[in-house]
Amino acid sequence: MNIDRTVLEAYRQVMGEDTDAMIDDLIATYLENTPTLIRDLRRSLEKGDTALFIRAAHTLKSSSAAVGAIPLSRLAAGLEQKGKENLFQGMETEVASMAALVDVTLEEFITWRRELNA
Amino acid sequence: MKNTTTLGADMHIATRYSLAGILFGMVFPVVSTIFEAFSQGIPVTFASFLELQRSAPLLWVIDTAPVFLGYFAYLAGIRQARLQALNQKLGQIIEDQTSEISESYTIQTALNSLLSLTLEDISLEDRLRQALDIILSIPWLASQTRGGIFLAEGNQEVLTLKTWRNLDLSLIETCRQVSIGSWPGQTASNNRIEFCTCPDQRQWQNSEGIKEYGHYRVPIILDSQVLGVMVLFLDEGHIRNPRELAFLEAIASTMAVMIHRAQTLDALTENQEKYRNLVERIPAVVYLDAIDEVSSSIYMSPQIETMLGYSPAEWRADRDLWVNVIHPEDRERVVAENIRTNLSGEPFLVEYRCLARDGRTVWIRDEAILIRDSSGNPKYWQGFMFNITDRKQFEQESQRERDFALLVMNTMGQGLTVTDPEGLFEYVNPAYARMLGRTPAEVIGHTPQEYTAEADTQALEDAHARRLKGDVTSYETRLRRADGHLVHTLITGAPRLEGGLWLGAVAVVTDLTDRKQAESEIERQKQYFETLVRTSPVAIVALDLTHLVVSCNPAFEKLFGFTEDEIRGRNLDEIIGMSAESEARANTKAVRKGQAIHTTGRRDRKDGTQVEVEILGTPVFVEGKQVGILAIYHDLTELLKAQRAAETAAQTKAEFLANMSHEIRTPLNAIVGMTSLLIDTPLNTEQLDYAHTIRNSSDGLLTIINDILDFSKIEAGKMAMEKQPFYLSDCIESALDLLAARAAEKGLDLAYSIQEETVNKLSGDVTRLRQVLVNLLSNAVKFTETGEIVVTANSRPVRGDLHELHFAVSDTGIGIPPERMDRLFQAFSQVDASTTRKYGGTGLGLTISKRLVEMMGGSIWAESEIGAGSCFHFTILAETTPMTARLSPVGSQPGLAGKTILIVDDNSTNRRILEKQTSSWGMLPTIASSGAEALSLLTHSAPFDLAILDMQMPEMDGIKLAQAIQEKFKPDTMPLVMLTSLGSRPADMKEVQFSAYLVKPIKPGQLYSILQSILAQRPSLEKKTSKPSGFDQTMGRRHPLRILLAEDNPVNQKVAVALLKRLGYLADLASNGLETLQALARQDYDVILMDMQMPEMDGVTATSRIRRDLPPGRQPRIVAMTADALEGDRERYLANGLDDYVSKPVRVEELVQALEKCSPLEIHHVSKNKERKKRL
Repeated sequence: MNIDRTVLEAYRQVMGEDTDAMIDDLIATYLENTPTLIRDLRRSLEKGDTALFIRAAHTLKSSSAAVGAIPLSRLAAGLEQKGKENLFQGMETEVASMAALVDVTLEEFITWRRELNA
Repeated sequence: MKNTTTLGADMHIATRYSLAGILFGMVFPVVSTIFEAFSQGIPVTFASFLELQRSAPLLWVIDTAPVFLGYFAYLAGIRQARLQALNQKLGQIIEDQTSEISESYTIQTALNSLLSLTLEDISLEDRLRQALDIILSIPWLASQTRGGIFLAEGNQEVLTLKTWRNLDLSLIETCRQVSIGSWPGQTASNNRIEFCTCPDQRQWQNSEGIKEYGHYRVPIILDSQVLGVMVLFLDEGHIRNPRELAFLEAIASTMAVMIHRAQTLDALTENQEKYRNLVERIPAVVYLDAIDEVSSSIYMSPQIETMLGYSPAEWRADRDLWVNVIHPEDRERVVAENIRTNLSGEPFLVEYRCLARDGRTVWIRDEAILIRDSSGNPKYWQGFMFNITDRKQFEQESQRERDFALLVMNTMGQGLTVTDPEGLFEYVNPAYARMLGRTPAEVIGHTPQEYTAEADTQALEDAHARRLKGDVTSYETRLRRADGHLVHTLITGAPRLEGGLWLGAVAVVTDLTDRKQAESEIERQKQYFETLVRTSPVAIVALDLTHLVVSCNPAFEKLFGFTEDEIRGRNLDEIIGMSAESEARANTKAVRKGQAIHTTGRRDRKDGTQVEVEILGTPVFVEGKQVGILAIYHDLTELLKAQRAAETAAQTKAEFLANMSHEIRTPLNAIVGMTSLLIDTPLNTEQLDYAHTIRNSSDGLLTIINDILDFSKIEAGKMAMEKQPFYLSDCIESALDLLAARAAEKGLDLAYSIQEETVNKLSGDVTRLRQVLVNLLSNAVKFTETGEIVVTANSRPVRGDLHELHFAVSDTGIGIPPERMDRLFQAFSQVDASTTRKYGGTGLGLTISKRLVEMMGGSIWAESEIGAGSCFHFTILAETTPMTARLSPVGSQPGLAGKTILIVDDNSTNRRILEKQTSSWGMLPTIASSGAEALSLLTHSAPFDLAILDMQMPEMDGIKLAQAIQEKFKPDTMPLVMLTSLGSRPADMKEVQFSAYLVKPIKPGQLYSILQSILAQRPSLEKKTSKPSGFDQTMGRRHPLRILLAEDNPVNQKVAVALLKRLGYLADLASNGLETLQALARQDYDVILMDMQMPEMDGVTATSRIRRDLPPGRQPRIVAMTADALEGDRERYLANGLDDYVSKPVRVEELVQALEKCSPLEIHHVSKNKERKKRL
């Protein structure tokens, strides 16, 4: 399980009956934005654009943490740090494994969404 | 033989008897001998017997007994024999009689059976068959059981064998049908029962072994008419005696009766059937009614069912059915007639309607006559009912058609005449008569010639001649009216021919007067327009639908150099549109489709040059159909030249201005800036005075230059309107802010009031709106010496989100003379030259305002009265954008509701505004217009929850009043709020304690906050809403804040927004630091939730910029949202101007806590030199 559902479920206390809709919305946003971030990571490596790399990794870190994709968030944090330390050359493999993890995570989110909308 | 036998038998019997007698007689001697023996006592032996015999003489007597007895017995015997013979004879006789009787009985039975056959309802042939069986079963006749019955048929010409028993087939076949004259008919004519040996041997030749050809022929005759012959095959002489003959005759006559009756009945039945069929099949109802009171039905034919849907049985069963079936409207009439004819015996004939069972209406013709018997007594009514519905319908239709035709003829506007073969009017309709000024009655019988004008009679004759030949004619003619006037008509006539016979004519006469008038009018108009087109300086060419030239005017010829003849019939585009082919073609297409076009283009002249023209192409429609095209060309050469010159000039001007704008402003800014700096340096009074003058003048100059540049930008059409969201109240307030100082300097009161229900969050150009307000306000301030200036605003919805806002700036200034009012908004005009000198200004302000207002979809106008003041109104159109938390609360507010407030202000406007606003929040205001009044109020009542005191009041100013109040009531009991103008510095504040200051103009938001903070500190009956430990959905309402969320991550953004929404806040969004600053430039926010790691400009940088750039009164509370857990970072944030932090991912509790610590922007009290922040 790459998603910690309790992160989003925690909002049930606050949002009450609107929680499902909110979770669905958040997941949708996350599903929408994450592939772009992966693409940014790859492109930044190609172009050697550190700023973009750090930016993308940072955003991925925070969004993932916000929706409970903790392993992904940690991985992204790692990348961000490496980027900041200017060690992001040769990060292709890392980015690739990040992408793989993203795929799996997104699958799980899609399943969760289906459950919500059932 | 019997006799001899009897004799023998007699002797037999006598002998037997005598023997018996002798024997018996012998007994006596024996017995007496024995007795004698006994008496003598002699043993009984034969010897003794003989002895005795000899001895006793008595015994001799007894010995004679047998002889006597024998003789008597013999006599007895003979008698007996004779008795027996008699008995036998008797018996025989009885037997004979009995058999005779039984024979008769049998015959009688047979006759009875035959008679009963007569009564049975079977066919004649069956009857005959059964009769034959009966007859042949009579034992007497049943010796051979062979016989047959012939019936006379075919008018007594032939006898047909109808039934037979046990006859030879050959016999049957040959004798099936014989003529009466032949065998066995002969007998028939003889009328005798005969035995016949059948003379015609030929017939019997083939039948061998049958010797019994002999048969009895029994004729069956009734009333000397031979009905038939019965043939019985019996032995000759079988009929022995007349009695038997009589029997046969009886049988024959019974048969005759039977046959006759059967035949009669059959004939009767057949007849009956015939007649019944007839009656039941005729297409009418036949009925017979009794002549009792109600004419009850004896017979009703079945057709009644088809006619009215009731069966004859129903009809007969219900006596009232007939009456009920009659249509209600006809019932009375019919029943009356029925009664009448019942009484009088006259025939009954009525036509009426009936309602059939299925609801149809059926028209009936009911005829009945009274049938009498031979003595003339009425027996019954015999009647017929015919269904005449069709006829009636037809009649009604015909009538309707006639009525319709008559209606048409009488109401039609055209005249209609019918003439007979002699040419006289047979019929004229009212319209024709009216045309002649006569009545139809006057006209009928006269001839058309009489009414025709003399000059036209020839035409009439011609038409008549043609009509005689069968033609339809149409010609115009004049008719002479009764009053002598002529009327112009069109007559269309058709002959009435029927089978070649001339029956006259029918004509339609149309009054052409109107038409003639119309025609002359058209001709007149045509002349006008033709003149118009001919003399027009504009080139006009008329085209047909295929774009070929029909005609053109001299101007066209002149413009393009072609003559009309040269271009007639040619396609216009090919003549002048060759160099702009595609464009011309497009135009042509549009116009041919029925569109009007108005465009410019280039066209060719005959000499090959081109000309710029304004082109108007319009389709010409007549009665909805396009009949042609008009093309109009206007030479634009001159116009274009002028336009280009103007454009170039404008272009030059705009460029010049653009350049100059920068060039002009730069040194000016320097002057203004430098002068400000100079003022801040130590200067003596004189120098300060000079510096101020310089500053004022340069300010003024800057304003003038801005005005001019604005004006030319607007004129050059280079001014574009922005569309940004903003708060209306903010806009108004900031405009007032700009003038507050100047107003205060002149001692003028500034106030503003936005009407409730006015839309506040708008989308538009806030800068321009403010510009207009500032312009109007500055004019107001400029031209008012004492008094007040009030800004009011209200709105009304126009459509959807679009609203019309109405502003009014009113002052108590010098006013505007009426003769100058219309020049007010004109450029460069001030009311008069002296005003310019006195008041300064360019005179452009109002013009620019007007332009701006108009660009915002509104209008501007003014009202004024010399010496009293002016009021400038303007309207603009703006759209509302979705609202965030309202700036100033509306409606009764918890915390304020029910609180009493004392308002002390000499300015009635201010008083009114305050009173209105506070009472709208549910408070209970009391007003006083002076300190004295206020104090007198307070002597007699309890302290108020709060009091607002105006600083600048005559007689007793705010300070003195406050001192007086606070001698009685402590600040806690009755807190005081000071209402003051900007820039005024109250002296001697030490003894007085104010809880808050309000600066004029009063802003509702500020007022509200102040009241809330002051009154919330007091314990009140209302339960103070406690700090939420969980989360509170009403927080947004309870604790309204304008929130800006600065977060770039979409997920986090959504979370934050959702949480805030849940709390009741609608936050604005910014995705980076730059956007945050832009948002802040547009409006104030109470709190910014700032993500620290944003792209392009991070949170810290943004915060420092905000802290640096915004004035203190507008500084929002900035709450950092940070994911970093490092202690050091947080400290860094707080040091860098952030007020608080919440961690990410955002949690509700932290958010609530952070928001709780925020408060709406505090009021600010700005003076010229110092900034003073007061947190309340």
